[in-house]
Amino acid sequence: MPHQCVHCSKIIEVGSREILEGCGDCGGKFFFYIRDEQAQRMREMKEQPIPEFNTIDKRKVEEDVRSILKVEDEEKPVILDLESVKVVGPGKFELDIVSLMNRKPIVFKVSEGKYLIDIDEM
Amino acid sequence: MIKIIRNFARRIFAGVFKKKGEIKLGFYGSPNAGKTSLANRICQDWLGEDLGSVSRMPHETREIQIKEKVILERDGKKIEFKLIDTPGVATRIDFEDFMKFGLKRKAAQERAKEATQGIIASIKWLDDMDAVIVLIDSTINPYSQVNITILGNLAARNIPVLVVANKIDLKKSDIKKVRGAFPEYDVVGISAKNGDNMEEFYEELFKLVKKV
Repeated sequence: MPHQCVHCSKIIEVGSREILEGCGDCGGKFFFYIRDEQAQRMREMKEQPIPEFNTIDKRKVEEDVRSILKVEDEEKPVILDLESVKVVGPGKFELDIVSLMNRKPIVFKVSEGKYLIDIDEM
Repeated sequence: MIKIIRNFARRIFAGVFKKKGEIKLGFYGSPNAGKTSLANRICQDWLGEDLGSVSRMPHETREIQIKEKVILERDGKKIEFKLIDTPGVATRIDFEDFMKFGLKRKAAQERAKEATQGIIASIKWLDDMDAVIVLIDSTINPYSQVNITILGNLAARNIPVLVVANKIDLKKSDIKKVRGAFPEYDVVGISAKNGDNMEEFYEELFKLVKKV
């Protein structure tokens, strides 16, 4: 399953070292996790375009997520995939408390088909 | 899986070496249910000091707050509590809600982030509790996802629970509705703000401790 750099939108293929070393284009270490089945479903259904945050919002969302997860080392890659927390926008969150209480790893859903996982929780 | 085993081992280990009599008592519930008000009331009654600040604006408590060595006495029996006040659990956080209370955009977004962080922390702390008081605002509908999820999870974890229907001093308070919503639990009605019915609360608290 591929990832996508949150900052420059570059698609990073499965198993790429860029996930650990940073995006080859912009150096970002903040990635969306794209689920195959969802990406496929979106292609098939031609769903509405994925809402994109502007650059300032992306930075704010990254800061917020790193802060919430207490990932202070900015060199550490963060992959967001936590449907237990949905980032609707900067300062707007929706939490699935049932998933959180069932001790599922914290996954941030940033927009349809794009996820960020707290790898420390895995 | 490793985390579950680690938590289980920690509980067992903590159980063996737990200081006799110390009960870790958590306060859980929706934002503005009165968790900090009740924790403050207990601390005032037995220590003469507050545990945390309260506000009309939701999510005033955004970090776990702890007060140790709170010793309660009843009928000659002393019990030492460690009170753990937790941030309110919610399913949706929107910074614009805080702006309605006069916060600037940046401060409101920061509060939203901290509130989200607080909810995750509250849930992570569940495993560490010996007993939990679930605060329910008796002036609003008790059938909420938050109340039902918290109570269901505590039951699954075998953590003893006391349901406290707060704000009975208000006209809209309906404690019967709370009792009707959760008939399998002991429900005590109080006003944490005014200190109403605290005697019955302490009586129920001592009963709760026996289940630990």
